[in-house]
Amino acid sequence: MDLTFLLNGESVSLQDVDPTVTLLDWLRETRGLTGTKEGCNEGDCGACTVMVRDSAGARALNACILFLPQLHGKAVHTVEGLAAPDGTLHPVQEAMIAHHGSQCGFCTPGFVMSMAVAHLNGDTGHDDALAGNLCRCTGYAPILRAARAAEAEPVPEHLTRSFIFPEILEHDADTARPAEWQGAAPTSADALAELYARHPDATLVAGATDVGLWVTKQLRDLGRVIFLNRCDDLQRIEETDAGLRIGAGVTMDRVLAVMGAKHPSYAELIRRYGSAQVRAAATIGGNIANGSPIGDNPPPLIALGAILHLRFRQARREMPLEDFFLDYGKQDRFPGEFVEAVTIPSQPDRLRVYKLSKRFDQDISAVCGAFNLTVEEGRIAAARIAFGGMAGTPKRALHVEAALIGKPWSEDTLIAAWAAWEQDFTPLSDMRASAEYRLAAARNMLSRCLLQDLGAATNVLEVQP
Amino acid sequence: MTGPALIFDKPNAYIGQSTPRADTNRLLEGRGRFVDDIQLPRMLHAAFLRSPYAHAEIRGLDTSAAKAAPGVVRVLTGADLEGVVEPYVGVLTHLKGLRSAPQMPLAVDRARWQGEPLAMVLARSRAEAEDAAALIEADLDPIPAACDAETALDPDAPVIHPEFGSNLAWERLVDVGDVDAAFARDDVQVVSRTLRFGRHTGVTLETRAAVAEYDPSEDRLTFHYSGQAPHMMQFIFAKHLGLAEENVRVVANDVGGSFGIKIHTYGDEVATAAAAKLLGRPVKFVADRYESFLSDIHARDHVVEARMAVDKAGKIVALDFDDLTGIGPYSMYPRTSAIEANQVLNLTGAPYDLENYRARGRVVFQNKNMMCQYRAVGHPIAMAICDGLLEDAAAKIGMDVVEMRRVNLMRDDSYPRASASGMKLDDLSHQKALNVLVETMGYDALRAEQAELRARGVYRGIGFVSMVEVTNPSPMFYGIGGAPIASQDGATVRLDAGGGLRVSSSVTEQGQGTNAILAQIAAGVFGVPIERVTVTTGDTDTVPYGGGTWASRGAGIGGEAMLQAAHALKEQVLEVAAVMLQSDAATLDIQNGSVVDGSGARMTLSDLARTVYYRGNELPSDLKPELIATRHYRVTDFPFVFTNGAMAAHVEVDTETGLVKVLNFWAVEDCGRVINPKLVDEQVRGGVVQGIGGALYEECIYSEDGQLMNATMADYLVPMAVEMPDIVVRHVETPTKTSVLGAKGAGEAGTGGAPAAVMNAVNDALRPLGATLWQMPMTPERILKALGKV
Repeated sequence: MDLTFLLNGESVSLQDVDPTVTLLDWLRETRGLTGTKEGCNEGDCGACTVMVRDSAGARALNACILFLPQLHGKAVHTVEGLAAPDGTLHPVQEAMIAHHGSQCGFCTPGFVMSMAVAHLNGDTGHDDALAGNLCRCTGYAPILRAARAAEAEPVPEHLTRSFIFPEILEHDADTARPAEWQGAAPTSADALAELYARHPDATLVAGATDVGLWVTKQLRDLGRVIFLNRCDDLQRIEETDAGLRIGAGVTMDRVLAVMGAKHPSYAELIRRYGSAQVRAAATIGGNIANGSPIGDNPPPLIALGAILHLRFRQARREMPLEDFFLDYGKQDRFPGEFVEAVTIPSQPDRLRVYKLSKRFDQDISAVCGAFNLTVEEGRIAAARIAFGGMAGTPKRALHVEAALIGKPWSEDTLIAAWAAWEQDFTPLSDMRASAEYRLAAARNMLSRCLLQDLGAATNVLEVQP
Repeated sequence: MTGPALIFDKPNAYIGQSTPRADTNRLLEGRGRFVDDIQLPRMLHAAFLRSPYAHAEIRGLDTSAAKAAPGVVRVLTGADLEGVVEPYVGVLTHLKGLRSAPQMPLAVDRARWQGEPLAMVLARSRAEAEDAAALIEADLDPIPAACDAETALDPDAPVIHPEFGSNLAWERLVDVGDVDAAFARDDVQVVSRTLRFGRHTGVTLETRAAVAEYDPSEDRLTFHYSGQAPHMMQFIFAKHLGLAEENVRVVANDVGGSFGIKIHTYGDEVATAAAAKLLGRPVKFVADRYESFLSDIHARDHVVEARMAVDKAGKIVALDFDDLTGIGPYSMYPRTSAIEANQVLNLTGAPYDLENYRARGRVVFQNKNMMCQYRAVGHPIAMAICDGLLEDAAAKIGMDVVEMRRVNLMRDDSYPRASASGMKLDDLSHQKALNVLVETMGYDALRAEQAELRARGVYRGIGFVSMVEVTNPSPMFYGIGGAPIASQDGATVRLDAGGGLRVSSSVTEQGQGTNAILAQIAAGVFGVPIERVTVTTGDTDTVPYGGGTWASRGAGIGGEAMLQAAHALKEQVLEVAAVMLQSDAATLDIQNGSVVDGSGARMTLSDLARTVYYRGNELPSDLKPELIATRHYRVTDFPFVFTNGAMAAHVEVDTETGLVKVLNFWAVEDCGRVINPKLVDEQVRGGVVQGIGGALYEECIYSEDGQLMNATMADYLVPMAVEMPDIVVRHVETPTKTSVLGAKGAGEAGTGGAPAAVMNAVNDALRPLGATLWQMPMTPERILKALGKV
């Protein structure tokens, strides 16, 4: 593929690019820009963080799982392009020096790029902005101090210039080899539907936070690749009669933003399970279609009664999200069919999500539970409960729900429902947790739900709004 | 020790100031020079085929398809390196009885751990090398494995090295006083526990990496490596590749974290050097993260049966334990994998006045990745044994844990003296450090708050540790046992014609700030602005001979050598200046780049140096100016210089989910003279965070058949920003009398002490519920199991 983007202010045009070359490999091996580091090559450590800007704003992304075609028409800044053209350091660089925020210096370029993005966006939630960057030397405190110290400094002039670049460039690049682009990166859901129906064996790439690892870790040849990031109509969030319809291509940072007001517990879960870099790349559709049994996204969506929209050419079908997950690694999706959107029905917020993992942030859940309970006059009028990590798929707790509905919202009811848990779940033992722990923790989550409603002392450690 | 006076309070004395770190601008701008950033003409890339089994006979390796793959230049197997590499054995003569088998960089007949390199592919790119490695057909026959250290000594366990007859690598017993009689006394209370310490590893952000260049015209090997001890590796490559030592150059530029991981001899790195020699072309090997988890040394892996007897007044009457540690299938070369167990025996109980002490250590082979020295070698185990039992005993006799420490800690005025295990101790301040800690943390108020919250069902715990840290080792650590590991270090200081100071040192920089403190010492002692000092470390061609950076020795030993060299050069320069100025050297000084006397600046250093270098005709012919000085330093009076510290953790335990949140952490450290306060604080903080990691999160999880289950950063949990509490650091400064500088080390205390403090805090939270937990990491599930809820 041919593509064009801005790199540290300079236009870069590439011909015949292998679509699965990562930005990190290209920067280091082809371009000779070695400031961006490889720490894990799977999006966990943030040493490869770069700033990517387009008309929607600036984001921090992991270059190690970012394919070059995803950058077409965008502007990339690496650590080498962070200082002003006259050499004046960026305020976050200055602050890192003053506060001893760099020791061995290997994670440092990634940290300063995350910090520079947060600084540009006026984001002062440093713990969160830096949750995708690992440091093994400092213990983080001096880095956080540096981030706070730089807050008040103005954004350097070379990063504030108005952004006129993408439309012009994208147009030019597209006209160069339009057929090739249309065959690899369609610009509408209609075009995607047609293309995917013709090539049902193709790999769809949205944010590449998982598919990227197929390349970098499993060393797989993906064959034909179809990029979804140019399908603008898949990236819409709309209020419909049925509820909030979220296009499959909407990235998780946008889901987080919109859920902050609607279902804050879900929003906090999103914040916790993915770093800023991952949220800015990962899409809700990719997350669902991937079908991981331990993905944290499906449980709250199932508990909220989300409807999944699937499409094959012009044929569309809908189903409750829980029905999509058939078995471990198996989803109800035909060849050439893709996730087009998901709709969350409008409802008052009663959602509570609990995520249990050994580490608080960005750890794969042992158990993730989502509870959507309607209590009327002391009785449970409606219940939707869903779990991740308890079965081969994200799964609804139908027997537990049945044991609760109509009963008083009390400890006695929870005790009475004790046996229902084992009808719903026979979890596995693995290195994250034993079956017994998972079952006990799942039951405790429901107890906690009740305790919170009763106003009892609860702990700071699980997800709360 | 006495020495040059007034070096600490001169106008431009930088010692004691938080000057910015050297190198930081370069690193902040992405201009670091790490090994993977090196590109050389004709360079080949290496990828390894590694054993998928913990234990397997190698029946054959068919490399024909790999050799024919695109871009492949050569494929090497263990047999190809026989005769090229002399096998290496990780033993030390002073660890009597320690045994290990000869090791080759690529396994020859048998693979003994999952991840052991079997074959090496050399190709134009790493991707091509990886693709070709996948084409090697390995005929491997898995055989029974001894993975679990606790059963590896059983009579029916598979024996990993049949010639030894068992999997025991080493055993040592320390027995002081009359332990049995002490436990038999009828006025003592006894606590006994089994402590388990999981395996964890360093997870340096930069993985291990090497670029080897060989020039056959000069029979010369240059090895760029990401590591800590260039001169040690120079010896090893010379010896095992059959080269003259002077023909081996080892270079360590920027190193992306090390923590002890990068100070050992790894087969893949030796194979990289051997391949460069065989092919006459540069070869690069950079471990990917998966290889890093499989092959970087692991640490800890101890099971300890321990008991302590205390009397009614809280005095520790006796301590007795049995430590079993699994080290993988070989003892690591050249430092050996017995040092950690040895440290556990040496250090346990060292802060306390203890008469009856018995400790047995057993080191066993097993079919897992090798275990060796990682930050705070042995310390987390030693501190957790004694301070864990101390707090357990305090609970049993109903005594406050601080009070019990006051009863047992060595008095600050009781030095010099020895520990129960025979370690020579001096210049320590346990009682003072504990007092500063208790005051800093507001202990009484915290206890009151704890009681109040408990009544409301919130379980918080406070835990302490009083600790020693081994720093500045003498030749008694390794050199005495025959290892090519220098305990002395050298520093060279040269005045350049421009008036700047060019200094070099044999200690190395992996992020600790070594280069920064060397510049501070040189600038301050000699008398130039720090901006005029350039520091070179990590190149065997250009720096004096020495041991490198490990065991928290950079500041104490490398720093003292630099101090002595800078002082010597100053005297040499003043001698020249006295002649040129026709005055008495005793009346002259160097300040801010100029020679001064009572009336002010008399001559710039640049004027002086240019005269010496360019216009020697202006000098008397009997003056032989030397504007360069080199000094070396080693610790002579003690085997080690000890530091001490007191730390406390404050945690909350969620008794329904088992999650632990560290709310606060306080560390009071006495590392002698503090050269750069900010730098020392960040060493302590970074160390504490690694210690918290080992206590709560980090664990190399193996299946029963020896497969590492969590070899990714998504599954191996290092601490992240949001979990970490604000860590308050305070200092007590008791300079060591073994040097003029007075600096001990500060790099490992946090990692050595934090696990015990966290464990004690968690157990303090759990005790009212009738539970305690003695296994690290203290995961949510283990906590719920301890509480009987799972």
